[in-house]
Amino acid sequence: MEHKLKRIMADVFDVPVEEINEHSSAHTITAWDSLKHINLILALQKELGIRFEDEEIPTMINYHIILSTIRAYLE
Amino acid sequence: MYKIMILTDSDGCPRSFPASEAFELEETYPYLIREHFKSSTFWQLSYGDITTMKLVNQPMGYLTHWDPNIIIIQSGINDCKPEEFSDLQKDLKSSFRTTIKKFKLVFSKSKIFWLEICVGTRCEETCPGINRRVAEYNRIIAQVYGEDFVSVQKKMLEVDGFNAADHVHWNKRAHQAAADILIERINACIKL
Repeated sequence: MEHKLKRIMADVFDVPVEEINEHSSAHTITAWDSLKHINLILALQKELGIRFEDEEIPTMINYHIILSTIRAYLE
Repeated sequence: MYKIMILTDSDGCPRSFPASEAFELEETYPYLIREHFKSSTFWQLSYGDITTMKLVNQPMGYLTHWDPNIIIIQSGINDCKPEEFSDLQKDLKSSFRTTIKKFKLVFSKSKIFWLEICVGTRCEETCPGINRRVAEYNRIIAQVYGEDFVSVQKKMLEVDGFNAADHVHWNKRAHQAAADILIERINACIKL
């Protein structure tokens, strides 16, 4: 799951997958703006088959929270 | 010194009615816990009529890097209040389960105590079906949090701890009882 998430994030933000780690966030990835955030959410939903709640989407601003969110839905 | 986060719905707040059961901030269980652990740092959010997702979104958005040692959370009654329209309740329960699982994963380094959702015996009269829904949501919390699900309903009934006006909110006796239970739990936790 972690590898999949890193790949999706790398694709959306157009960075090498090696640059995505547990400290990655909207503060550390320059390309992570509001539009890219929406793109990330859409990509995650499509690839993982999850429909995130509207209220939680704005809180998914770092790798740890995103991974925790995905695990809560899938595990 | 420990870092302790307290998240509650309106039950963490003092009440001013009915007048016979009014009590002060200093008599609420969060305050009593703060007084007991004076050398610890606290962050508390108590928000009336809030659902669990809205409540936990706040610390997940702003406080993950604070890394609290202990989190006490009292939430769920506002999630299970809506009456039984079967499809809606199914979605609400699923959403609740995912939310509390997520919170545990986000704050994986913290010891999280989740209080049992409880209501007085007369609440069913004004909110039919509430007892069954409360039991279902408590089962979900217990499944996710195991031994860190803090049972309080029995104690609250023993101390006649429910507000006489709405049979949902806690009175002063309930707050003292909750503080006693939680202080014991925290003490056991920090001794490990």
